[in-house]
Amino acid sequence: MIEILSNGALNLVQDLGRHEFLNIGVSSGGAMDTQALQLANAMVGNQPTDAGIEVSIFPFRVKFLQNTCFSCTGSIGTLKLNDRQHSGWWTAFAQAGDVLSIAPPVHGARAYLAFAGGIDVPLVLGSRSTDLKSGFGGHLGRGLRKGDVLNLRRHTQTPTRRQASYGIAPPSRMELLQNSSTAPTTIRVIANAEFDDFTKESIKLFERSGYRLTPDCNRQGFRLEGAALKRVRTQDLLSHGIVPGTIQVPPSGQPIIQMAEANTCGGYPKIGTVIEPDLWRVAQSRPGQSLKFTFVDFDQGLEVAQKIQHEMQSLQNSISLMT
Amino acid sequence: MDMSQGKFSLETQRRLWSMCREGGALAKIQSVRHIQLGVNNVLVSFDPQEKHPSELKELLVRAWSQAAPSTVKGKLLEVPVVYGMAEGSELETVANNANMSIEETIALHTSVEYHVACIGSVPGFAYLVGLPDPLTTPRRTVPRTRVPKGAVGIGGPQTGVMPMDMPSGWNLIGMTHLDLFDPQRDTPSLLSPGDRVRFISKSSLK
Repeated sequence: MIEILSNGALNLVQDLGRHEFLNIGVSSGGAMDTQALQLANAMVGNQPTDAGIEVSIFPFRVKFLQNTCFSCTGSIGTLKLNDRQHSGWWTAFAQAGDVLSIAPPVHGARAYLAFAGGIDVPLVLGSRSTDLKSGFGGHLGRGLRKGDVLNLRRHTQTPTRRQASYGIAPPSRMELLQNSSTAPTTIRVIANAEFDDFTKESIKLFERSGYRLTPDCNRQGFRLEGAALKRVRTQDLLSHGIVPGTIQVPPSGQPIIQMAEANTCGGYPKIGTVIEPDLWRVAQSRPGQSLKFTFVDFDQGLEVAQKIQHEMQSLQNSISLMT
Repeated sequence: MDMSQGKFSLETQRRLWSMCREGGALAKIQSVRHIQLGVNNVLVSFDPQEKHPSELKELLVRAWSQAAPSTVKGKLLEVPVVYGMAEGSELETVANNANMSIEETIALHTSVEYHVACIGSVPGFAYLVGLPDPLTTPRRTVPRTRVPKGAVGIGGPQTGVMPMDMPSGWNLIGMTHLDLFDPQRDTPSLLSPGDRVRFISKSSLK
C-alpha cells in the first residue's frame, strides 16, 4: 500500500486507457505520455498495461506503507527518497515508511510513477485509468487527495530485496530537454479531412508561425493561440469521429489539439492530426510554450513510428537485463 | 470516410449501421482496430504496420460500395420529459423561432419517432435525427459551461438528452430522468445506433 501525502486534482491513476468503447462515446483516456508510463512499468518489471500515477500537480509526495520497487519517468524535478536526492528517470527499492517527493519539473508537464505490481483499482470497462470527464475509473473516478491509500497488486515475481538502483535516458527525450527552453517544440502532423478547405495562406501560417499553448489546456484538449486560420469553404459539418491528436479549427481560427480524454465525436473542421509518436511532445508542453507544426505524409509518419518503436524496444531490452 | 452530401440522409446512415455493426464488413477488414460511427460518416482506426493506408482505403471504399441498408428495426425507447423544467429553459426561444405556441412546440417535439444515428461525443450520448424542420434552432452563441444530466435539448437540426453534467451550446427545452450511461451495467449505453426514441410530455418526473 501507498499513502498520498499531497492534494492534486490532476494527479491520477492511469494506465494505457480504454479503447474498446469508443463506439459508445467513451474516451480512450489513459496516460497523456504513454511512452513514459510504459517505460516506468518496464523498470519495475510490470506489464505495459499496469496502472501507475500521472502527476501534474507538484510538489507530489507519497509514503510507502510496504516494501516495494518503484520508478519515476516523464518530466521530473528533483526526486527525493527521504533525504536522498536523485535526478532523471530512475528506479529504486523503497521500504515501508519511506517518503518519495517530486519537485516541479524545469521542463515538461507530467511525471509518471510506477510501483511493482501496479496500482490495484478495479477495472472499469477494461481499464484502470481515471476518466476525469465522466467521473469513473481510477481511484473513485477522481484526482488523488492527501490521505488516499492505494493498494498495490501482487507482483508476478517477488521483487529482490535490493534491486539495483539505476536510471535510463531515452535519446528522443534528451533532444527535447536540450531544446525546450529556447526553440518551440516541433510537432509532425498528417493532413486531415478538411485540409483542402483552408486557404493556402493559412496552411503556410500554420506551418511557419508558432502556436502558443493557452492556459485552457487539459486532458481533453489543448487550446492554442497564434495566427488565425481561415477556410475557403465554411459549411457546417455533421458530427464525426475525432481522436487524440486531431487538430480542430473552430470559427475563431485558433486551433485545438484533442488529447487523451478527447470526446469521441466533434463538429469542427480538422486541419491535421498529430502523429501518434509525437503526442507525448504535446502532452509534455506547458501553457505559454510554443509548438511548431510541420506536415508529413503517411510514410514519413510511419517511419517515425517505427523509429520510436525500435527505441522503446531497445530500452526495454536493456531494462530487462537490469531487473 | 465522409459519405455525407451536405444534408443528413437516413438511407446513408442505414448503410453505415449495417457496415459498422459488430462483426460487420468493417470489423472484418484486417488491421482495423476501432470504428467510430458519426452522422453520415465513419472514422476507422487501423494499424498502419499491418496494412498500408492506400491499401486499406481501397478495402474501405469496396466495403462501402457493397453496404446494403440495415433492415434491423431498433428498439423503441419512450422518454418521459417535463418540458420547460430545465434551469434557464429555452423552450420559449425554440417556440418563437418556430413561430408556434409552447403547446404546439411540445406537441410537435413529441409527435415523431427519432432515430439514434450514432452514440458519441461523451459516453452514452445519442445523436437523434428526425427533428421536425420548424424546431431546428441555432445553437447558443456562448455555450454553457455546464448543463445537467437529463437535460433535453435542441442543437441545430438535432435533439438529444445529456447523459451527464457537461458543457453544451444546445437550447434546453426540458428534463428527463434517464441513465443513458452506466459503466457498471452489462450494456453501459442504454441506446445503440438504429434504436428509436419517442418523447412523452409529463407534468412531473416520479
